[in-house]
Amino acid sequence: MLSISLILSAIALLALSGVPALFASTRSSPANRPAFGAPGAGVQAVLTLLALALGVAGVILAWTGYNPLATWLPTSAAGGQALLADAEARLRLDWFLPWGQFHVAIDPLSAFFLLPAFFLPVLGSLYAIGDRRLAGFSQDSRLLPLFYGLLAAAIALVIIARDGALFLIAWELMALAGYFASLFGRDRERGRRAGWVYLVATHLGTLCLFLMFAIYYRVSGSFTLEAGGPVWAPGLATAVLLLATVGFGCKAGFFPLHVWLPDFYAEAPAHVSALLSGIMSKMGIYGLLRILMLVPVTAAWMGYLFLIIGATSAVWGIAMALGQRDLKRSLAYSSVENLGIIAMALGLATLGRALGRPDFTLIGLSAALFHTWNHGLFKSLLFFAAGAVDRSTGTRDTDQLGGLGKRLPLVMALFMVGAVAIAGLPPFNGFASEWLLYNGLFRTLGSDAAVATHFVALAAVALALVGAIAVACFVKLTAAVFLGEARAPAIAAAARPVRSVSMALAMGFAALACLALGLFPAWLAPVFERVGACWTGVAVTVPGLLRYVPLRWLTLAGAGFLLALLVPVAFIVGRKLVRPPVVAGTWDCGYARPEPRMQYTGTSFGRSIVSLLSFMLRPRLKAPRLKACFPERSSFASTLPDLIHDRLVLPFFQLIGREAPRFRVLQQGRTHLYVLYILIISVVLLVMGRIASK
Amino acid sequence: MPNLVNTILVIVLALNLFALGNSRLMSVIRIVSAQGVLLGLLPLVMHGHITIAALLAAGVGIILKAIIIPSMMLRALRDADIKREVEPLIGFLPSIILGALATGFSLLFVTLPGLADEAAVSLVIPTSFATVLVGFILLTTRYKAISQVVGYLVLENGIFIFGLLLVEALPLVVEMGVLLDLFVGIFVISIIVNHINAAFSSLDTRHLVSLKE
Amino acid sequence: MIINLIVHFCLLILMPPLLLGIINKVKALFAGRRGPPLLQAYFDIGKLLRKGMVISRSTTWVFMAGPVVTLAAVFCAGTLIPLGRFAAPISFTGDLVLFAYLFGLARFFTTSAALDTGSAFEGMGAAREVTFAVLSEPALFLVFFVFVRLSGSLSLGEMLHLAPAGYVSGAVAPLVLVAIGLFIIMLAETCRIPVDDPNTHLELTMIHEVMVLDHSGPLLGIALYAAAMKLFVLSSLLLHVLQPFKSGLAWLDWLIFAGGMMVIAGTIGVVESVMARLRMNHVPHLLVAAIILCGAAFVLLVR
Repeated sequence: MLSISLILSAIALLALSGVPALFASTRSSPANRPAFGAPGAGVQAVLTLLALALGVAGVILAWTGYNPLATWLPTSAAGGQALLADAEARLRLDWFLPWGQFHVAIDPLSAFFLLPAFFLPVLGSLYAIGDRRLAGFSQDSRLLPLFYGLLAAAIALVIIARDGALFLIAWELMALAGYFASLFGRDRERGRRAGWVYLVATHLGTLCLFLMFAIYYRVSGSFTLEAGGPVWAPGLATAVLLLATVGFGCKAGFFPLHVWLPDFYAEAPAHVSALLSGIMSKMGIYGLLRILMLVPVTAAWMGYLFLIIGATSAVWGIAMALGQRDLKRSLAYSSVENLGIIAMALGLATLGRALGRPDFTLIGLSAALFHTWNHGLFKSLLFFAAGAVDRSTGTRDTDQLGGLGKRLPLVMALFMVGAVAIAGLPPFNGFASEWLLYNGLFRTLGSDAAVATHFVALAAVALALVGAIAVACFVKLTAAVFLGEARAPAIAAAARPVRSVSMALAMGFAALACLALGLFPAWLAPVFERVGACWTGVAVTVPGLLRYVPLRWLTLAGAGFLLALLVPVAFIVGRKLVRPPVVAGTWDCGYARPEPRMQYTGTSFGRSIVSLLSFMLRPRLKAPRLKACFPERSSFASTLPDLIHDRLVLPFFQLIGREAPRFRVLQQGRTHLYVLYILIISVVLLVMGRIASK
Repeated sequence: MPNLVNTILVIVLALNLFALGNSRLMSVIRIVSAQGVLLGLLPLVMHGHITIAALLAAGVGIILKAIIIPSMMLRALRDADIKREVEPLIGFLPSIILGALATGFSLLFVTLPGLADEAAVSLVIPTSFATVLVGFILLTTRYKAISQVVGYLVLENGIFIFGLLLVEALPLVVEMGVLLDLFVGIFVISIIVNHINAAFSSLDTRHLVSLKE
Repeated sequence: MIINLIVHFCLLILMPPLLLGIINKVKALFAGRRGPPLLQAYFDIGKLLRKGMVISRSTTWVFMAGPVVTLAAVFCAGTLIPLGRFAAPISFTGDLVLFAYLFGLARFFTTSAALDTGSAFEGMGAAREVTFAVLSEPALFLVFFVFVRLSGSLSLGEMLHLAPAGYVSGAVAPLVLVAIGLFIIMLAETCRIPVDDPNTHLELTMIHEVMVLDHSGPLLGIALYAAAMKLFVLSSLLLHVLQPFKSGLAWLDWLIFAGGMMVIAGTIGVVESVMARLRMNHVPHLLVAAIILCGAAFVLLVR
């Protein structure tokens, strides 16, 4: 009771955290407002920090089951008795809506997702203080903190909702708050267009969820999302699971439901993108986990389905990310990749449950959960750094940037931490979670369980492929933005250094967390076991996660690597001290006049991999054709459009756009006609109800 | 002995892929002749004891397929003075992948039930089938007359592997007959190659289209 | 036990340049030259380490981090792999993934350092390096699948020691395929002919050498040393498949191991002497063939 009150008050704080911003003054010029960048951002940061404190306290109380009131209050007191009796982290209230009730609760699964849901908004609002470009906006930018806070609150509400109706309300609130928060990007027009696509996509997903909850209600007789329901007929269970996969998969951005995602994440302000990609997309994963917990899985095909979806999303996402020019679009596509990796882990967990192998289940679930946290951290870090670059130079086009490392050394170092972590390389957290997943997949391959080995092997090969492309992709982003020389000197000359303590703090915290989780993943093992026990409904922890996968060794390996690094570093530093290096131009095979424009751009760096994968990516090249001896001036262009968007989604909506006007007949603009419609529908419903009751 | 047989067979499979992916005609011919040597060794190790029939099959096979036919082809190559690049109908990468699919298909699905010594010959039938398929791929996707000859050679190698299963049951005459056919065929083609070259000053079989009525 | 560990580290640290010497000697013999002395690579590296550095003004600290991180990563990979029949210094369930990803880490920093110079040549080399890795990494994992399937273990040590038992139990065909595939992977990862030519420094046709074009003095020395160590580590992986026999005497087994490594180096030398470098756009075909071979080995095991 206490814990749930703490959490609810934290959510209320989050929701209200943007309200003070409405009263902030925006009239003063940016010059005399150095301390608070975006209006109200400072207040929001403080309030979200407070919410984090309350939320973490609530989560800890719910997790440990400890009730301090029991020790403080004399048990004889009547109030104390009542409080003790309701020690469970649950709140049930009837409300005015015709269905469902206000029913929230915290179990380990919710608690696990609540932590990043409270933590990431703190980082985001901290970052927003420094992002002074936001301050340059007109009156309405005071609304951004409001929607940002609402978004964070809605996410937390989704996590604790235990009632289908409440869940859908929170879900819709989250979708709308996300939409409005995303509108405050640099290019308003493109932002609106991207937001429109997002609105359509998210509502199509929500439609599936409506259907799913309808079936759920039909079978279980209530909207309560609690385990221990009735026995499910296989057909209905399948329908619910497929609908959940589509509905939640749309939010997570699984291939091919990801089409709304690249533009939407790219056009939103940096800290909103971080929240959208870092935690809102994870609500798709949370929803899937919740439904899988309630609806029993008995068939292995569900696991294979997730493995295939995950592998496809991961390969597609990272390959598309490599081909993008826009820094934030690239990061957005890499979200598709990371959610795909989580889906693969989920597939392994589901497979384990279907086969009755608790070890697969535990490893798969741990990998999925761990990667959820990790992706939230390093993706936020990368979006923050991208925002800093955007703020400093005014562009996100990687083919124009370059050489920023000398202007923004701190941003570069932090971006590289994020890049190494997201590429899944040791000793950072991305490696730890991918390592868990590999362990699970290899274990499946090596065991004699009745597994369709080919699927699992294909998934593991896909993961290896994704790992290799991810290295290429993030080398490309790092190098194209920060290394070498500026490709467009005008932009480089205009680049301003970013001197914001709050931005550096936000990025620094995320980077530290990446390193800490990468070095000490074993600390989280009990957490995963607890969530696993909650998810399967069985105490699967008999041998424990650490017996299956020795996470502690990663600590040693990471520390060993850092130690091994010391020797050559010390040597080079020593040599530099003894004989200071001669600084000269790039030698470049003795080329006489190297120019910045001769550098490899990000596009040319990624081109060879893109053309290797051209059978599935279909990059579009506009190359000049030489006809005469002295060709005219011409241009070369290569783009990588999203096939799903261009060949599948657009034609479909164009078709609808062509065909839909036929229904205009119904819309005559006369009120009495509309009343007639209502009458007709009422009559039809009455007749149908009559027939159904017979 | 099955170990040795299986080793030889998987190397034959690997050589198939390299033949598909190689762009230089000379290397392709060399690869196929190496395949010939390996296959020639097979009858000796196949059944654990050496018979005169096996010895004969091995000797004739190696001499013909690894020495005489390749040298004839290399000579034709020299005489015709053609470019050493293969001109494939489909790219090298697709044809490698096609070959891989054929190999995987044969490994997974092609078995012959009712054979006595299952473990020993478990790879023989799939390899033979895969090699025949690769031969067909070479035949259908390459333009140059010489590369088509290579295709026939690979095809024959596949048939040869299959014949090994029966080398004790069937008379040697059949295998020898196949080899003779092939030899004569290649002999004829080598002559034709020269004539095509003289007539069209190119070895591209696409030019033969102009001969149709 | 302790002695074996010491020998492991000594070999890992001291032997790599020798392999380069053997390769160059074999190539020289094939070309009819006397060739540089066997220990030339040691002299080269030693000399480079003592020289001064010239650094481009385009670069940042990432340029120096390239060789340094690569060396540390490859060294760590070397502590994970068992040499011969002896146990590796560090061995745990799932270390094979760490092994593969340490090379990924090395690649990340090598290519970043190359791109840091802002040179077109080095960008080209970096792009090729990551492209070929896209194909060789799945192939390496397929090799691991075969080992995991054969041994039922997830640690490199047990895996590599148990899997060659397949030679006895009749799983020869997959092991032969894996050996061929692994050899191709090794040639590609260590940038030898037919994938890359380690001797051409001034052409557009190379990968590794072009990436370290701007590194000089100690940095170049470390880069060369790290490349040699990578060759050593991957060769010792291959040796497990090729040479599964053991004598039982520790000193004899170490001798056998060292001999095996030299034979592999000699084989690389022979391959480099008799083959031409492939055209760059044909290299993927070779690597795809490696993937297919390893995949076929796996299919053979599970069918």
